Amino acid sequence: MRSSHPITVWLFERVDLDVALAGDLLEECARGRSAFWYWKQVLLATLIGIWGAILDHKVLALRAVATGCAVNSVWLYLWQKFLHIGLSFRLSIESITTLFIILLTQTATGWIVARTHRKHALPMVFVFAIWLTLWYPAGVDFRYLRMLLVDSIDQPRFRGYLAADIAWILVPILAEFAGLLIGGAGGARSGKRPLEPAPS
Amino acid sequence: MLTILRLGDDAYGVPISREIERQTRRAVAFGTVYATLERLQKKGLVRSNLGEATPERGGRAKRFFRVTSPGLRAVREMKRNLIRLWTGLPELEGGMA
Repeated sequence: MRSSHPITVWLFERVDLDVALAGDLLEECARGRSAFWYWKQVLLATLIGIWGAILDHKVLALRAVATGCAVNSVWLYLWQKFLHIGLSFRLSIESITTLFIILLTQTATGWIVARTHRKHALPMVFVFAIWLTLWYPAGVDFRYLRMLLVDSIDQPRFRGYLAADIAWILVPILAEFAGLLIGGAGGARSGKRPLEPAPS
Repeated sequence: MLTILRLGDDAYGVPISREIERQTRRAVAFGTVYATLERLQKKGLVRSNLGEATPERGGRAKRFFRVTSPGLRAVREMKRNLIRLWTGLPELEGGMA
């Protein structure tokens, strides 16, 4: 776990968690806790940190969503004006390019949201990512999926197509989410706490 | 806060979490313990200071917690309130379910 420690510290500093917690987790691992336990604790602590920051700064969270939406509106405008490509239901150069552009634009959006909310950058990027994920189904055409779902109940040969279709629906949102988090992590600065004197 | 009082000078994340697990017989997430301690600290009920960094903790210092005077008053008040709520309930007399 010692090799993972710098990653944990890096993460905790960016979600404004006490890095003494990272030391506590390492100390517990030295006493025989598993790697699974360690990463579960890191994940839980990070989620608690993010959730706490969102609850403590609701207005900032709204501002982050507004900022992200504004930036994405610009991307959407530019896409519609200059790019005439999109995702199709098969793996092609066009689809891969589209996914790459989604990843790139969302990385930029994540970075901008993080830079405009420096004190709580990662939690605010996370809020926007969640917002975007919740809105995503509104833009998806589920008719084909519904058809496949009905057909695959009694005809197993459709189940492969169903799985591929579900994957194809999930890939763009995963690319968006990953892009936002990559950009957010890049734009976030460490929120190191001031050190206090050792007890006498 | 009771756990911090129980542990005295050795109250930092690991013993606090272990003591809570021992007393409640439930697994606790370290993140939850720290989030609670941070809230208590914001309210001025506990205070903390950093100890020395050790190699076994990856060079990270221990954060020691202590209950403040307002914290001690809050604990006493809570105890009084609990006793008041507990007394006069025949269903809870004698330890029978």
